[in-house]
This record gives sequence, structure tokens and C-alpha cells, in this order.
Amino acid sequence: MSHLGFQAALSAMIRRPDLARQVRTGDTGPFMRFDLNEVETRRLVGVARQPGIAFYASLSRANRVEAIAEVFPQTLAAMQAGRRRFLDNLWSSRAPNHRLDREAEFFADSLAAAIRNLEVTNEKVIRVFVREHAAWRAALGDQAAAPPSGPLLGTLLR
Amino acid sequence: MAESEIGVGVLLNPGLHSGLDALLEAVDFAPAIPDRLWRAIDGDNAYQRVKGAWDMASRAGARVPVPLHAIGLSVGSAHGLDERYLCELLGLAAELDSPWWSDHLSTVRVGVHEAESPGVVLPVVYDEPTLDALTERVAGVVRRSPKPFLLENPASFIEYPEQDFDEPEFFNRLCDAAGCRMLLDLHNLVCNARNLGADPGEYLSRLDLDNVLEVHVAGGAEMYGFWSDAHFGFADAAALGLLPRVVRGARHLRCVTFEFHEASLEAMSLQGVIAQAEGLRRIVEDSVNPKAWA
Repeated sequence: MSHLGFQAALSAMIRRPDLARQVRTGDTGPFMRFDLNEVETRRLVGVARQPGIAFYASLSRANRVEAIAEVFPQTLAAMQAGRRRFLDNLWSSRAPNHRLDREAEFFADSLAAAIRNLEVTNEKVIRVFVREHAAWRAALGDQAAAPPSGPLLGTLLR
Repeated sequence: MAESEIGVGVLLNPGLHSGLDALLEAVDFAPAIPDRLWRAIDGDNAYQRVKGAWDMASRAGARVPVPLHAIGLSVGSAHGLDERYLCELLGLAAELDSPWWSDHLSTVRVGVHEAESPGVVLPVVYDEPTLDALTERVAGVVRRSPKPFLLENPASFIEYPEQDFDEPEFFNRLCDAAGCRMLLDLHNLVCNARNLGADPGEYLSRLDLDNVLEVHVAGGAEMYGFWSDAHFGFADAAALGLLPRVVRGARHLRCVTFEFHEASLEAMSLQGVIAQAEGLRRIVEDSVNPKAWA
């Protein structure tokens, strides 16, 4: 079986394209923390030099966006130019699970915090997010969140 | 089932809900993805049925066999199998009386509590240590399953250097040693041919087709310069072109399944999906009956 570190390092290269770019040049420094043997290191360097690793990175991002868009399509659209930076920041600290079923939750928690901290102030983004958040919670059976109205914003941001 | 013992199936998805009765008239099997019949709750410690999807699978199961096609077992995970997930799968297969069940020879879960998962499906390394470890793991699954357990060949977008086996040999050895069987996805062979230069004909000549119980055909899509296994639209002509050879060579083949993503149903229409299933049946019949070739 592939060593634990090998799978973790490969996964990290997919989630962090900058890591793959660094390894592609022959710099295996980023692998120091993964406890790899020599064959595994050579395999990872070989993989980093294949175009498929960039494809996996794009596919991973597309899969994560799709999972968020199922719940917050209008919020993502309203974020426009700030969307990419916001998602980059979010995903740099949160790896997905294999079902991608917590992506919407990660996104909602992070956006709520950003609104609370006045890092996101666009009124349209906030308005649409509150509405979609309430609909999502209601669909999950959270009855308290059902009516999408003004006071919900306070609940959301607490 | 028609003249041949090989049936045809369409993988269930939510888009088929309203047309299910018509579809079931046209197929012999209705494979279902268990991961869409439930959702994990309480930090993966429990599973809750998704009512609409479960009702659909139950309705199908009352008419035709429903093999399960899982996507979350992650047999290649270095951290081992998710015991809770496996128990849920086996229970569901028993409840639906599935004639067999399957997952992929791949890794989707990485890290303790999945803290390092990639968000994509990764191929396993085809080397001796992986074969040894997987043999023990898969044999354990086979022992616990009263029905055949199949593993599907993956669509891969990278090739690991310094492997000990090519994919057909790895599957041959794993099936022989662990007692599992194979779900041969012909569109994944096409993906690997277009993206990695693999030769599907050579692959089939090296694969022990006696291990194949089910075949998948599907469509794909161009994505970021690669041919992806997006399951978009009708089955790829190149995948269908491989089917007669497999039908003639796979002595234990039970079902040829068309899988598609529900997003492409509107473009195909329900009638189009049914026509695809009928087309698969014709290919199967023509392949097993030499007279039909004349």
C-alpha cells in the first residue's frame, strides 16, 4: 500500500498548485514533512512534471465550487471579482472530505466571519447570502432559519 | 432478459425519477449509487436515507435487480477502510438484494479524519507492496460479502513512475488473489488512451476477461485540455467500439450499464436514454450471435 506520507504529499500538490510548481523544478524541500522513501519521492517529482497534476488541481477546485454552488449559487455570482481570492483563502486552510459534503458549510462559516469582520461589505452579497443561507438551513430541517427576513442577518452574524 | 444471458442497465440518477417506469421496461438491471441514497450525519457516525433517492431505488428493486455502485469505499487509502461505511454498504446491498456491488480501484480519502483529501479520485500505485496490502484488504471485504464484490478500473490523468505492473496485470493478480471481480469501464479506457496514450486493445488482450461481471459505457467531455470521465451525454463511440470484443470474451459478464450525469438528461431526453439501452442490447446480441454478423 502507498505510504501515508505519499498520499498526503500527492494530495497536497493537488490542493496547492504552488507546491507542485516548486517540486517540478526539482526542489523536494516541500516533501520534508511527509516521511517519504526515495522511490516515493521520485514518483512524486515525476508526477509533478506531468500535465495531469494541473488537471487534477483544476478538477479539485471545480468539484469544490460545484458543491458550494449547489447551495449558494447567487452568492457566488454576486461575489464577482472577490470570489477567487476568497475561495483561495478558504481552501488554503480547509481540505475537503471525499464526499465534498462540508464545502457549503465551510464556505458559509467563512463568509459569515468575513461579513462579521467587515472584510466583506458588499450589500448585494450579504443580502443574497442571508437568503440562500436561510433556505439551506430550512432544507436541512433547521426550522428556526426558515423565514428569510432581516433579523436572520443578526442570527447569522452572531 | 433477452436471448443472451447478458443484460443491459442504466445507472439510476435523480433525473430519471419521473421516467423510471418507462426506463424499467427497457432494462434488465438498474444499478444505483449508494452514496446518493444516504447522507452522512453526526461526523460520519451515522447515515440518513435520502427519501426521494431511496424511494426510487426501492421502486426499481421491485422490478429489476439493483447492483450497488459505490464511490466512497476508497480501497486504496493508506489509512484503511472506513468500517462504518462498509457496514452501511453491506447492509444496503442486503436490503436491496443486490446481485453484486462495486466500487473503484482508487483513493479518495486521505489523512486522519480525511484532513488531507484531494477532492478528486486518485489511482493507486501498481507495485508489489500495494498489491500485497490490497489483496489482504479486498479479500477481507470479499469474505464479508455474500455477493460478488467488483472493482472498477479508473480514469487516470497521471502515471506513477517506477511501477511493477501495468493496470491489466495488477487487476489480474488482485482478482486472482483476493477473490474480487472486475467492473470494466470502457470509457475510462478511452480516457486513458486519449490522455496518456494507453492502448485499449493491448489492455484488453492482457486483461483476464473472465473476471469481468459488469461493463460500463459512458460519454465524456473535453476539460482543461483533457478528456474527462464526466459521464456527459451518450456513450462515446470509441467505448462502444470496444464492447463486442468484451462481450465475446467475458464469459461471466452479466450486465452492460450506461451511466450518465443527470445534467445531460435534458439534452438526451428520456427516450434517448432508452434508445441508448436498446442500442446496447443490439450490440450485445449481435456480438454473442455470430449469425447476426452476416
